[in-house]
Amino acid sequence: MSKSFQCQICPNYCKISPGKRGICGIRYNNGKKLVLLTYGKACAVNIDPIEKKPIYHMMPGSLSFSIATTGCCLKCLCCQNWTISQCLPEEAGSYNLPPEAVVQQAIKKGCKSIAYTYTEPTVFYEYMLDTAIIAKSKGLKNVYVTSGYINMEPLKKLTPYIDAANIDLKGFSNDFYKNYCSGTLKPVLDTIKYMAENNTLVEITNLIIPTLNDDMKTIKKMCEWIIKNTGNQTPIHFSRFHPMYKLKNLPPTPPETILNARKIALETGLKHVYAGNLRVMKEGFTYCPSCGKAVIERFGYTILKNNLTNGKCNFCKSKVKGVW
Amino acid sequence: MDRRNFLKNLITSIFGIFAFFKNGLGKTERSELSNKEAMFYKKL
Repeated sequence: MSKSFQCQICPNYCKISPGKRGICGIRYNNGKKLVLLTYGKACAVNIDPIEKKPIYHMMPGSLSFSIATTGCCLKCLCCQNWTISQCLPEEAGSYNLPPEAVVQQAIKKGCKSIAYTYTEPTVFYEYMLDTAIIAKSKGLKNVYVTSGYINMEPLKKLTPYIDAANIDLKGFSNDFYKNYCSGTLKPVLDTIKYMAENNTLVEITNLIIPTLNDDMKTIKKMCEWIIKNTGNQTPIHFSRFHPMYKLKNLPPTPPETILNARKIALETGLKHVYAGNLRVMKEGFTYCPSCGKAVIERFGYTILKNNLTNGKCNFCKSKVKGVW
Repeated sequence: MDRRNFLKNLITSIFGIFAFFKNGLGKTERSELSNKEAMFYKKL
């Protein structure tokens, strides 16, 4: 009798026969059970500034111990980490780094958080969850950098351990997700809403790709959805596209498109709107939503000035959303 | 500009580049991969 399994971790719901793997390439049916091939096998390990995730509203200027394994549940044509996200674990080198060792190394290197990032942490869920539980018990924060393509049951189990999440909202139409990411939009929106409602700092990244998702009317609709479902203090990063992977035929996003999207988001009512992958100054600052003064000045990943005390603006004492 | 912070980030980035090349060139044997049971799946 064949022992096929259906993976329930992400909305792909892969049906996996013995000896086969899911779309992610790392969840494998060994004939007896479904296993994660990359548990404790990180293919990328770096110490990054937290601003690189990008997370702008949690412990600015701190370091984040960042790990990934191979694999992803989406197939984005513009993937910037496709060399590790779209390959099998055998095709990449890996470090033997069990959860305890990740936490130990993070503390040793002076990191304040652990980031599950680069590829899609949802597919190495068990590794992430076990690491996050230990990290939390040792006083470290956990950062989930994700496409948000995860099912509700695993998300509910994970969320209590996640302090901040940067969720990619790659576009605001199901067609975009279907044609350029091999996914669907709704699960991503559900993830954003659930995490925002359950004490996780959610920051959203929207990569703007010329001709594919740069329609300003759609961007406005997306901003309205964010305000309605997560509040107007949810940070959003409009990120500039560079020709990559299977979208080398398109030009880089013109800087004015990013700045225009930022303007529309601010006009719609969002308070923390950032221009990403651009060498800008004030468009990367955090402003107090009450008095409008710059509370965090940054350039790239470097903090130039921090005018927040205990999460409150030094000028008007209003609270600014974040984990400070 | 906070010079110390800038240098710290610069050094981190340089190590990151080395790590990228190291990872990019490596391979992992199938026998070295884990067999940790997944948490969310059902039998068909």
